[in-house]
Amino acid sequence: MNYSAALRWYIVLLLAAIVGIFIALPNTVETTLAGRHVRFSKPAALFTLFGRTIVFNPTLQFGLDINGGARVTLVADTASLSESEKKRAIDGVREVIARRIDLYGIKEASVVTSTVDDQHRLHVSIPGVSNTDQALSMIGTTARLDFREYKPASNSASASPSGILVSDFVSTDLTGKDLRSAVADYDDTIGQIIIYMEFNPEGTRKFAEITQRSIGKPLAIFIDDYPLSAPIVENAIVDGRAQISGNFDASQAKSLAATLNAGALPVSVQPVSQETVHPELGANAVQSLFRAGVIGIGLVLLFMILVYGVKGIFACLSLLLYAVLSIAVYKLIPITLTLPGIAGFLLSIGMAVDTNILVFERLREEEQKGYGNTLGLLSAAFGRAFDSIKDANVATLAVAFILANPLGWSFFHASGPVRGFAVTLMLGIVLNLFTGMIATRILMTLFYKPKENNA
Amino acid sequence: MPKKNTNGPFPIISKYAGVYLFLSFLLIFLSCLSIYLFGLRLSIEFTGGTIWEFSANPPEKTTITRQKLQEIGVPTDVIVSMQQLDERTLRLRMHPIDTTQKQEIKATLEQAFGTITDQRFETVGPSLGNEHFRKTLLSLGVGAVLITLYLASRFHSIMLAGSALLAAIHDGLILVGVWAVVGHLFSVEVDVLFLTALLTILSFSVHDTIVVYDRIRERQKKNGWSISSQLVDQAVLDTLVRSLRNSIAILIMLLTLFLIAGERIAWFMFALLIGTIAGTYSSTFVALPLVVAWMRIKQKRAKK
Repeated sequence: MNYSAALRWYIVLLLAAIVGIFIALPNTVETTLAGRHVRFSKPAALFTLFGRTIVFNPTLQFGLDINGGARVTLVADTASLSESEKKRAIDGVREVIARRIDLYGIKEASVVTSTVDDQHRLHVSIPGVSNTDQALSMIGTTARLDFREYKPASNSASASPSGILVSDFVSTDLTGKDLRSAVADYDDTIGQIIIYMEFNPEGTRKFAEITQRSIGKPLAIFIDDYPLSAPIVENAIVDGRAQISGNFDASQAKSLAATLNAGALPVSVQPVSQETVHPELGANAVQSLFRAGVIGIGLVLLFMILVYGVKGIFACLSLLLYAVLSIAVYKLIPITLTLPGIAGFLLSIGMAVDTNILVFERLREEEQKGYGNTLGLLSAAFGRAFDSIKDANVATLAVAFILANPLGWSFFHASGPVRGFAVTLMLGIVLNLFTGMIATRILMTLFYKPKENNA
Repeated sequence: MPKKNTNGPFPIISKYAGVYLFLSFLLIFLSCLSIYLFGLRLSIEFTGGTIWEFSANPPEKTTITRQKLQEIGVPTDVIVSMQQLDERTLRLRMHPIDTTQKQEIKATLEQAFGTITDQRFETVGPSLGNEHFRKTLLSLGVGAVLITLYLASRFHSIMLAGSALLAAIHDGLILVGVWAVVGHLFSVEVDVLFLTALLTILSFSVHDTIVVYDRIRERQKKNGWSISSQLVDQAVLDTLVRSLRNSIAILIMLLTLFLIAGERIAWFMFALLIGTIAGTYSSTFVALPLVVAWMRIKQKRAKK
């Protein structure tokens, strides 16, 4: 790399560092300064993209073992269903559970399905909840779907501004059992996404009667006693096929259809594994880990300077850049950090040092051979070192890949903590190749002056 | 004064290969022995079961024993073992129970001991445990195969790849052996995290070995692709310092983490620590003696 190329890359590097630091810094910091309690806040970046205003204020996401919460693996009993029904049923259960958690007001919950050995599973993750027993008992129940017609109580003088109360709806005998299926599809003629519902013979009969009675009035669909949708009945429907239109977007429609299916094909779920962590336990663990990490990094940096002198400082800079960029990446993707994940990150810092050491040892050898010219020296050193760095890192990368299982292969683990560790390790290796090789080289090309050869 | 070695580099590996290999066999033997004697404590992630940690603040200080639990009406047959973690916290290891059963037991406990705060509750059904076990073995197997294939292709030599793999397995065995001892003394379990450490150590060991191999390959290029004991010796002498420095850097980080970070991570770090030390040692003093031995056997066969 020649001087002018290095200069150009240096500017890129500085930009990356500045952006990285900005993203990586914590959003608020509270401390006592000169006896007064102060609070520094990082401004959130605000910008407009394609006419939509976006607020950019990423935070670090922490996993269950740090924030506390619950993680359950449920198995759905789909034995009695046909293949095509199975998929609909599982999506339905997933949707219903997600809805229930939503009702709890928990933002970062996740419900993921997986199939192992013909067994259909749901992995539910509810962070930040301390009353996990309650949350879990709510999730495990089978979905209940029913249709209710509008019969406002006679003293509707107390009606809400929109005129319709939930309590105005009265149960009918039409339930999820009578619904055969629900599908969301795009209707060309209207130019909208429509939900198509189909009832079985018994349901068709009931539905015909109810719609006859309810023309011009809303007919509400309730799931788990919670109103899902209340479309207005336009005319009596006697063939058991109904449509719901309402300017749905694709995801809304899919969600609605899946929920309806959950009611139509109620599938019972059984928990096969469960993990709950009290928030306090996690908070303490993170603090000690954090402290240990800072001390560890400090010691490693000290070591590098002691052993390699001036060159060590370049290594320190690139290591710090590595740490900053890693944190920024964790915030951007975002990656949920677990305790082992943080440990993996700290470990990768130790390994990042390795790259620098390999280069410096090479450099020492080349200097002894007497190159004289800085650029030639650096290019020889970095070039030769890269071979072994590449080989060595591939081995670790392969192992991390297996553990992280990003493609979700069912014959490997899908477990949380292990994956967290592997993902941070993998990211660490890739980032490390960048900072260790490129960043250090740029810095050294611009600022390093080898001592006179006095071997 | 006459120079010591006029004929070549100090035969650090070639002369003492036998010693190193003997030492390694001894270590492996000891590890296997300890595994046989002490067994491995498998966590519930592999056996299935429940772990329930809770803290209580009973009005009068009572030690909670199995008998006491029976007295207040807790079904103690589901309890496999009890461990008092600190003054207020108890850890129960049980057969798998579900949330309803747990709540029942909790209610009974609260009647006797006042409010109970759950710290941790983990249940794994038995079939899931089995599956974890299978998947982990598979991960280990595939990892080992991938690494060997990669090595063989990069260094054009099954001998080098095989030795590297054997060195890594050697490290793994030692780690498991140590865990058997530690498990016996400190009740440390073999859980999924430990297996993560094992897999990571596999890659560490190979990582370290590769750097020495790289040096060998470089000298091979100058020597017309032949490999000799002298070549190996020189390569080791060249890279010894670098290898040590690298390991020290990682060890500093691991040691700090082990000593200062909390209990949950400590044992994981300890496993990585043992593994890193073993990995550094094995790269030079296990993989290479194996290579030398292999070469000698090939030579003898060729002569016949």
